[in-house]
Amino acid sequence: LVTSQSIGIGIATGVALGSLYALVGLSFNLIVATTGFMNFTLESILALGGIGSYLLLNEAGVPVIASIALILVLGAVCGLIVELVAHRPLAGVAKDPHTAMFLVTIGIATAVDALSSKFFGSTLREVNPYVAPKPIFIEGVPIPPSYIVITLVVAVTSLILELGIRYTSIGKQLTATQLDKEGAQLVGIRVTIIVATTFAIASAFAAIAGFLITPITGASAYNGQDLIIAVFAAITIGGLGSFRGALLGGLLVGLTSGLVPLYLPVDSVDPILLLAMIIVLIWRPTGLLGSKQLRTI
Amino acid sequence: MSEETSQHSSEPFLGASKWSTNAYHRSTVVGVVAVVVILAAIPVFTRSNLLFEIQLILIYACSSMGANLTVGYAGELFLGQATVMAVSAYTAAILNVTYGWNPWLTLPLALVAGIAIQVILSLPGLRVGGLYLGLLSFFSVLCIVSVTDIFPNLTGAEAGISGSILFSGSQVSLYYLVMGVFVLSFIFIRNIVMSGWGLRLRTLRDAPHSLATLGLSVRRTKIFVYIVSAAPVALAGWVLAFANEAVSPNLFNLSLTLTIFASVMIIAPGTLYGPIIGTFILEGYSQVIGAFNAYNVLGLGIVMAVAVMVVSRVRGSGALSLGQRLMLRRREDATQGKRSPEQSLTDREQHGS
Repeated sequence: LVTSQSIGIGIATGVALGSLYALVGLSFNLIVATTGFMNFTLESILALGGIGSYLLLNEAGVPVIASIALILVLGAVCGLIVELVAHRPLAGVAKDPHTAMFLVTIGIATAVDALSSKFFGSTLREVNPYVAPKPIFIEGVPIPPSYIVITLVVAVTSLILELGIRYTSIGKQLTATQLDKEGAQLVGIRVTIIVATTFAIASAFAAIAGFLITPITGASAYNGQDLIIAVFAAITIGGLGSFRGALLGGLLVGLTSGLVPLYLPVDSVDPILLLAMIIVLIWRPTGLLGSKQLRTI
Repeated sequence: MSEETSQHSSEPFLGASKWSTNAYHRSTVVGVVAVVVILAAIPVFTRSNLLFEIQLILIYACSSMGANLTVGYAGELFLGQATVMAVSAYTAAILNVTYGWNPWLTLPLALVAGIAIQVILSLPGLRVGGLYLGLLSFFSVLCIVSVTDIFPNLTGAEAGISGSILFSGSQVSLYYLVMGVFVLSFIFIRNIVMSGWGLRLRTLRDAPHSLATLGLSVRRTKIFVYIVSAAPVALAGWVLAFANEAVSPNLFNLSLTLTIFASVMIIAPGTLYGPIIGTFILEGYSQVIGAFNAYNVLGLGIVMAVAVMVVSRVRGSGALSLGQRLMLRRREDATQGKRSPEQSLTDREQHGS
């Protein structure tokens, strides 16, 4: 039975999930925009973020703030490793580096997931909540506080990212690298460092998304694989490489995953997203907000 | 650019080049006959589980050959072979088990369904290239479980459908059917690669603009690849439904996608034999390790990452892969006498081997 309360819960869930998809989508797009590469390992870094928060909060009893800091740092380190192992050997050498990087990172990601499931077990584990789980009532709709935290964190993060890119020196260098890599190199921007920084920031985002999602999904080695479908849909619908596209796409996909289960079986969410991706790509190949010119051949 | 062209025009499978075709054809025929004889002799020696495992390898090799045509030859990043196999396998199993159709009558419908799903999933590929197609088709593999869950009455949800039997009690006839499918797929792919279409596909991969400049439709070439490369994959799905005597969603998972893809990439993408040898190595590994063991996916993932890295670095630096180098030497041997020593010397220098 669909009531106004269940719709309210659906919307709240949709916004919270959508913010998470947007955050992960942002981290994908950050790397796509700077280097043109699709870094699939962000999926396993997300799962590792969830596992890390279980180990820190449940096993080691580390305070929440310290856990967040540690997860951010570990995520950034993972990103730097990926940059060193997968991106650097391919960039500039491979004949078709974009396809190669996509396939290489899929290989690494599935291997990492398999390895972490071997050590962590493939079952879901409940993680101690980072905020009190008692729901807050807004207009009679019970909303878990973690939803509000997720939405706020993502809103603040994307605002900082947007401002940082516009007004800081690193942000301007990043934009320059995005627009013209060789030109940026010529004016003395150290492109390798900028690219490495991008990988580190994006991976830290993915790791913290893995931490934020634990009250909803728990921690598992396959969290990333479960979530990646929606994130793919978000960035494809919003536009690959576009920041605002990731936010809009994330929100749309989140609302779909929040509201569709009210009317149809939960399992129909993914096929609906797949269908939406196909339609959007045929109708507007660059995504809803993508501005990057794409070649058809 | 000139280096590129010379590298690819030197490929022995180029349909347009007339020289060396006779010698080349003869050696191919001898090779294929030898392989067929060996495969045909296997049931004489073993009828145990090993025969079933070899069947699976042959079936997956058909999918790898299809994937190789899309990715290796045409350069279109379609990763949804597992979806195509799932659709045709389920079509066959549903029609056979639920509706009691004769297994042979399910073949045309299973083929059409498999090809149709690949074309639908690839449609965005006509407007966008590369990564989008890769994302979308990869996504479709992850959707298989959800789709079977939505229609539990039709697909049997997680348990799947069992009882799709083609030759009751005769393991050997089934083996020969699988072998026939494998040989047929090989000949099919080989003929396309050797024909003018093969040349068009490689041009689509290496120089799409020159394809358009020549007045050939890029769009039509892409549609051709999507349809044709799906055929062996759909055929593999159909025969898998009967070889396995059951279908379930966990047959068509990430590890199958990885096996197919890593098989294409590991030896030499864009060659006829590369994906077949690759499938024998990787699916053999999966069978030894156990398909549902976490170490299986771990190993496949690592192999895929390393193989793609090595292949693209070697290709990117202008050198040829090991397989291509061997083929090149064979072609040069075959053309001895027709070309002057100076010519083959300059050839060799150009190829950098």
